[in-house]
Amino acid sequence: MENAIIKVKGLKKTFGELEVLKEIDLTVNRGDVVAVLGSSGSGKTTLLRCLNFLERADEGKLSFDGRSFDLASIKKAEIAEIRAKTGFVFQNYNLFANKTALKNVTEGLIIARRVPRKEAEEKGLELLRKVGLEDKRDYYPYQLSGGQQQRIAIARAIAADPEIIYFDEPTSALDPELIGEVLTVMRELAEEGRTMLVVTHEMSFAENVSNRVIFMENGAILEEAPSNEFFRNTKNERVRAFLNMISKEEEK
Amino acid sequence: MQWLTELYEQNKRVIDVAIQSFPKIIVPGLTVTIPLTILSFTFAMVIAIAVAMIQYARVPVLRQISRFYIWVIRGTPLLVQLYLVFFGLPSVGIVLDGFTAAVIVFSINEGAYCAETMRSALEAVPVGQIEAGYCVGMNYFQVMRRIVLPQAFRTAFPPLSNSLIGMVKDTSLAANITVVEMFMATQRIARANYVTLALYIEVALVYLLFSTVLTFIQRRGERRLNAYTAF
Repeated sequence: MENAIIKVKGLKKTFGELEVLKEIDLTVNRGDVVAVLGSSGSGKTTLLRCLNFLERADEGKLSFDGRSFDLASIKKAEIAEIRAKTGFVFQNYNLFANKTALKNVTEGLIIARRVPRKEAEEKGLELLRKVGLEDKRDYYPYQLSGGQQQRIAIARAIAADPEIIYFDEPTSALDPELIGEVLTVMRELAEEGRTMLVVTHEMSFAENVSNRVIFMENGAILEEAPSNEFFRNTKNERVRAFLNMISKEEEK
Repeated sequence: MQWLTELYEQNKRVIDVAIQSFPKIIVPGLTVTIPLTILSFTFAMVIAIAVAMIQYARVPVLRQISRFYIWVIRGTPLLVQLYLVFFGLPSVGIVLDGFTAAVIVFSINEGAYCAETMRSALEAVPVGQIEAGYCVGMNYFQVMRRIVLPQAFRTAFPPLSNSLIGMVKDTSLAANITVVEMFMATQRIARANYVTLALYIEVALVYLLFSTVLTFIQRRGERRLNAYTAF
C-alpha cells in the first residue's frame, strides 16, 4: 500500500482576476497530522475546499488513495467516490439545523451509505460518547453551545471512518473558553493515528499535535517542515515574522 | 330587556331574513368556497414548489419561463385574469364552466405568489448545511429532501398560511364569473329581500369564521414545526 493518501500537483484556482492558489504541490501521508498556517487571505481555506470539491480548481492533479484524478475535469461519480473517503469539519460547524445531534451523525450513514438504521445509531452513539456528548443525543443544534456543535460536527465527519479528515479553522468561530474541548477531541483523533489536514490559527495545536506544518502566503506554500523544526529554527524570514506577530497577539 | 324586545319588533323582518338565510349562506360556503379554496391552493402549491425549485436549481430556459410567468401573473389583476379565462377564452373556442375557470385562475395566480415565498425560503437555508450534506456523501436530491426542503417549509409556513387565508376571501371574486359561492349566494338573498347591510355583515362574519379556523390551524402547525428552532 502506498504511503501517501493524497498527492496534489499543480493545483491552481482563481476567482475572477484574483489568483487564490498558485501551483500548489502537497502530499499527505497516512497517519500524518498536517497543520496549514498562514494569515487570512493566503488561500488555506480555498485549498481545503478544492480538495473536497466544494470549490472547483482550475487546474491540477490529485492522486487520492492511489487513484489519479484531474481536478478540473473530474466527474460527479469520482467526486462522490473521493468524498466517501473523506470527512470535512467546517469553521461554522454547519450542523443540519432540522436534525438532532444523533441524527446529524447518522444521516450520512443512513441516507448516503445505506447503513441499516440500528447499526448507524449504534455507531452514532458510540461517536457521541467519544466526543463526550452522548447525553445530548436528542438536542437540536440551536440548543447546544458552539463547542458542543463543533464536537458533534467532528463526530459526523468521522462517522464513515474516512481516510483523511479536513478541518477548516475548526476553532475560529468559538468563544475562547470553548476552544479547549474541541482541541481535546482533535488531539484524541490524532493519537488514534487518523490522517488529518488542519487549517488553523491554533499555534499550540500546530506545535504539539501536528507532525508537519505548511505555511501559506499569497496562494503559495512558502514553507513546509516538521513542526518542531518549523517553530524552533525556521530560516524563512516571512515565517518568523508571522510567528512573532502571533506570539505578540497571544501575549496581549 | 324591554329595549331588546323593542329593537326586535322594530327590525323584525330584517332579523328574520338574516336568521333564515344563514343556512343558505353557509351551505355554498362549505360546498363551493371551501372546495374552491382547497383545490386551488393545492394546485397552487404544486406550481409554486416546481417553479421555486426550478429557479433555486438554476435550470436554464425553464428558469426564464418561470420568471416570465411570475412577472405576468403578479403584474395583472386577479379579476382581469378571471374575466380573460371565463369570458375571453370562449372566443378562441375554449369554453369552461365557472368553477373550473375559477380553479384554474386561482391556482395559476396564487402559484406565482407562493413560488416567490418558496424561493425565498429555499434561499434562506444556509449554504454551509448543503455543503455539509455533500461532505457526508449525500447527493443533490438527498440534500434537498432531507435538509433543504424541511427547513424551507418551516420558513415558508407562516407566509403560505397568509396566502391561504387570503385565498379564502379572494374566492368571492368568482361571483363575477357565475360561480354561486358564498358571496354570490348572499347577493341573491339580499336582492330578493331588499336586505343589504345585515346580510353583508353576516357573510363577512362567516368569512371571518373561516379565517379564524385557519389561523388556529396555522398556530398549531407552527408549534409543531418549531421543534428545531429557538422561537
